Amino acid sequence: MRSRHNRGILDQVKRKQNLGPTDRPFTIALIVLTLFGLLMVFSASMYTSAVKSSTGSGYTQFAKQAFFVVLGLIILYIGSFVDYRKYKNYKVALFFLVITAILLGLVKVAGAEVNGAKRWLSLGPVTFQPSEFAKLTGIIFASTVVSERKEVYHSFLKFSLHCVLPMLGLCFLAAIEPSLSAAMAIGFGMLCVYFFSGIDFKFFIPYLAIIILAVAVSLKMQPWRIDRILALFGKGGKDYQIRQSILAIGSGGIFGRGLGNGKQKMLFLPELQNDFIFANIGEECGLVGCVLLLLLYAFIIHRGIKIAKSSDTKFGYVYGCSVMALLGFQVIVNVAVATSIFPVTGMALPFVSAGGTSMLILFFMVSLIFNMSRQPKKKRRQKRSEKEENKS
Amino acid sequence: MKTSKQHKKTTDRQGASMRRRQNKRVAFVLVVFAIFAAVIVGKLVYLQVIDSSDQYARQVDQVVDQVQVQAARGNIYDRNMNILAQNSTAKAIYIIPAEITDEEKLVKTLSSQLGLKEEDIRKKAEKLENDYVTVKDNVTASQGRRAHAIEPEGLKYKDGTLYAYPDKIKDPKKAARLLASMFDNMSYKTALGYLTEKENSALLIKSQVDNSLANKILKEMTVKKNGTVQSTNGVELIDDNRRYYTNGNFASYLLGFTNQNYQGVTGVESTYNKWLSGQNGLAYLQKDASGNTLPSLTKVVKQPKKGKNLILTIDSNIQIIAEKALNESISQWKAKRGTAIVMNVKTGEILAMATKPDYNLNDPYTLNKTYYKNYKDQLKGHSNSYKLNQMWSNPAVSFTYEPGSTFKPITASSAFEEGAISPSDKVVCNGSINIDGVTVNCTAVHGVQTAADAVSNSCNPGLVQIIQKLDPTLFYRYAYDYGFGKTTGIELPGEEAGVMTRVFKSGNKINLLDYSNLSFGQGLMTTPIQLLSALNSVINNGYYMRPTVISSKNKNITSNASKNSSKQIISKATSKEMRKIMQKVVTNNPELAQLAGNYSIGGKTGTAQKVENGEYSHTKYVTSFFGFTPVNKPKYAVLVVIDEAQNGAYGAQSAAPAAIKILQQTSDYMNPSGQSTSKMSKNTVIVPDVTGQEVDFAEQILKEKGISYKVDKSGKGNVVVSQSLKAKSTYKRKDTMVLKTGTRSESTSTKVSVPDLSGMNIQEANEMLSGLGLKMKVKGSGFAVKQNPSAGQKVKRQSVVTVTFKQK
Repeated sequence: MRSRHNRGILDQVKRKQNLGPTDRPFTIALIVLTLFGLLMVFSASMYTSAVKSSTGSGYTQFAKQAFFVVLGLIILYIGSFVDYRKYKNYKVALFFLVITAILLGLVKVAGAEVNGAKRWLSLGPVTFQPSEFAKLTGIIFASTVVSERKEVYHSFLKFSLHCVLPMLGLCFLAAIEPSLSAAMAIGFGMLCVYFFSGIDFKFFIPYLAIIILAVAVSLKMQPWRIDRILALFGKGGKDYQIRQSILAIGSGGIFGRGLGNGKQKMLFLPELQNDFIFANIGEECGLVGCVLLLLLYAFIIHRGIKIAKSSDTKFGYVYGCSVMALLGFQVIVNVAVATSIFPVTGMALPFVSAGGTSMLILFFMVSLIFNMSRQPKKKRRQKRSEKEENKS
Repeated sequence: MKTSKQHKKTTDRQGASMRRRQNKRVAFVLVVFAIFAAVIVGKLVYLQVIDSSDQYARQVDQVVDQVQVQAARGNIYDRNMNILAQNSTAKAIYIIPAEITDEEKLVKTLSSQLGLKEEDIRKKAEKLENDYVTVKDNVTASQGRRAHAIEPEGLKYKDGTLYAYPDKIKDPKKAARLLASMFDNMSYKTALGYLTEKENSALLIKSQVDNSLANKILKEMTVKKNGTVQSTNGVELIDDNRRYYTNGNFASYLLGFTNQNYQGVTGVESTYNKWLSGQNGLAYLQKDASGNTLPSLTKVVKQPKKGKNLILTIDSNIQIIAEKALNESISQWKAKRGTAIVMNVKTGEILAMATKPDYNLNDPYTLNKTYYKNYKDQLKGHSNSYKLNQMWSNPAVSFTYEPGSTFKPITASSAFEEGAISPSDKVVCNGSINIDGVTVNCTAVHGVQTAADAVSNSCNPGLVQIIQKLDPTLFYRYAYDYGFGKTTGIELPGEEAGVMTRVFKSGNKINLLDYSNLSFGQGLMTTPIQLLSALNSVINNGYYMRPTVISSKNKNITSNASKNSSKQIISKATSKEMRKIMQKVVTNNPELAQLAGNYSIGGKTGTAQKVENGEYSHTKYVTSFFGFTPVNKPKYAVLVVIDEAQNGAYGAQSAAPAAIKILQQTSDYMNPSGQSTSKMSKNTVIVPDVTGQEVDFAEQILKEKGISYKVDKSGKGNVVVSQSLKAKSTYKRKDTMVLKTGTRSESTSTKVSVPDLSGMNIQEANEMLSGLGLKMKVKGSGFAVKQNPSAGQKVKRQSVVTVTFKQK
């Protein structure tokens, strides 16, 4: 081992920072989830791809998704060597927050419209969703604020200025795209950070009222959302997508039809590989598959929070817990929509739904948690730092 | 380093209570998640376990189309296992309007190749979608209301989405203008596109199209790019079945044909439809949301079961003998129609059942011109389907007429059997007889004669005296036993029962005139099959055999014969007496005696006036002849019925020669070692008509029949345009048939070679020529002796062939 120690930069970094291996159960669970997701995207998209593509190949969507998964895993691997504490820099975080806000504004002006909403920004051949980006920058910014700016714990005004204002700003910009689901996710993620940081609960109360008001206003401005909510309560008939999704999940039964045997993918559920991938999972893998998938998510969240809790910095703690909470939030919203518990809103199923930006951002977000898991354990670390102190 | 250490310590100090609060909050969120997860799992259990079968059924509804897989129909064979009707494959042509790229080309090609009206195809090609089309999502309710207001049927708004029903939109341009002005990101053209979207499911253009023609059309419509199919211009082909009748105009009434749904319409095709049909299979055809079928997912869940073969009692050769004899008789006597039935005396099996003019089973929806010409008076002004139905009905079982003199053996045999009068008892004929003040005339003054001679002389006053000796109750009992007034139960559709009513006056006294008239076959109605069966039992030692066309070789079938409880109506002795009397009918008539030659033939003639508007017509007659051979041990019986023979012909002249010829040729054919003059044998193969068929199919048929053949492929295409051996002629072992091929259009538009018509009568020649698309000009009458242009010459279709006919 020693003779080969200076082989690569990452090895050097690892040695220098005294990094250990990543948390094995967490790593395995995430890779299993990602590969399962890839398989389901392949299954869900092969018919649409074959019908719509000029070459008649069923692999178009799959190839695209596979590319992003590979890219994401590379980001994850490299990211796991970058000390997560380096992201805790107020000025840099603020800079990225502003950039994100500008991109969100830009997308409203110059974005590509798909299905009546502007969510994508194209830079040459690459298109990406600033709203996904905002989830990351939002959580990092919030985590930095609660660990760097102690005044937010004591002054409601400072809390409002440094914490709530940026959050509302991002949410507003995402909501006018319009992408209410992204705004909700951004808001939820940042709120979790503030909540987990231990800030006095009474600071939150006025804003909870404001959030409820904001939702009401957005519903008022986009009345078709009311229809969707009414549809949920049996008024005006169910949404086509929901009906098809329920059909897919229901026809799966206990054990499912088997991989690739789903019928709803045959154009009945448009863009099945995106937000309604769970319908395909329900149809092909059945109740057993659905419950196992939910358990896998639960395990990842449990393990991620355990890692975050073992972190010795507040930044690491709130960041890790919030990212895992956001993951859970997205899973619940996505599955609840597919099973007609929630009204229709476009929330991706993390690590499973097709979508490049979302996939890469997710990998990047968890790469910080991976780095946390590589960090030496508290006791060992304390001993080590004492040794170093002695040396110096 | 120091600051960092200090900082760490402060956090540690503050930390303990803070961490607890933080952990509590994280735990709180996780608990909330757990609650939601539980709700989700609960919903999943409901959807996937409790409600699953319901959802599954609904999904199956949506994605699965059940289609029947047509079972191949059983073949029909004659008693010697010669194939008469068989299955052949074909294609059904469909179009999908939404996929049409070049409508003009499609309409032109389909109309010219399939002979359909351009406007009909255009109508289908331009059919608009009748299902909804999503125009736009995220539409506000007020926009939705505005759109709905101008097209209340065609535009509908629901849950933020605007839907269009293109086939219900009245003014697509106006609606498109409104939509374009309402949504800034929708152009007028896009909107109009949605509003005029074409139908996306397949519409049938024509079924049972030749494989080669269908494939040719598909090929013409296919647009390829770099070897891959870009579009088929909306054309789709589906496998279809078709019935092929080996000889076309042959035993048409007996066999019947099938309709487009492959169900028998008439003949045994109809009565044994279930037997022949087999069981259709079932296939699940999966569709996607756009209605496209997914070939890889088509699953045959039930294999179709081929129908069973049906073997008939008829003998193709005897059938041809009968049809030829009828044709000669009809053309000679300018009759409207003739029917001949040949029966096996001992078994009741029908060996031939022929009616001419008939129709082409391979083209049953074309009205036979000769038939129409002959029955113009009755058919004129009626709908085409009425005319076709009339043409298809089988006169052998449905034609009701007064039998006239052919009924006399029934009267006489009943009276002799009861001993009411002895055959040797004397009756007197003065040329007429007076019954209750009404005079019944006779054809001659027969003077004093025996009762037996009165029958053979066909003397009406004699028969009147015979019936008056018989107790009417007994007479009617015999008449019913012989089967009059009820159907024979033969396995053919449309059988009539005839009329045989007791003609009692009020009280118990009979109407003597009506009763007496029955003796010579007036005042009752019968059908050819009914009369033949009755007369057959008179000569069959009194045993009544139920007529049947279904061979006993068929297993597990209930034929009319299988219901046979053989009943004896008259004694063997009376039957023998009757045979002797009927032999005299032939021997005492110089013309008939000459025709019969040294064949042992007995029979009875009949000429009856047709009843028109309740009165006897003086110009229209039904002439008939019942004959059998040999007289002592009858084997074959025949009844020939000629409808409206012109020139005042009697039964002896018009029907008898045909019947005698049929009997002679039949017994020669069935017993070649005897006094045979004809070379026909049981192994005789009759040349089928394969022109117009695809080469593959023609070859298959010729192989089955054991006919050696060569295919002359000098012409392009794969349809047989001519055959060197004449259809329905007898095949000689050493002959090789040459098939000339061409394209389908050639067989409908360009040149054909003139067939050899020599020896044919006018109707046969006409059928042959019109089958090839040629016209005939007739000179003289009788049988073809000369033709211009001569046989083998190539002429254009629709050109005229002049044929000279002469009596033999």
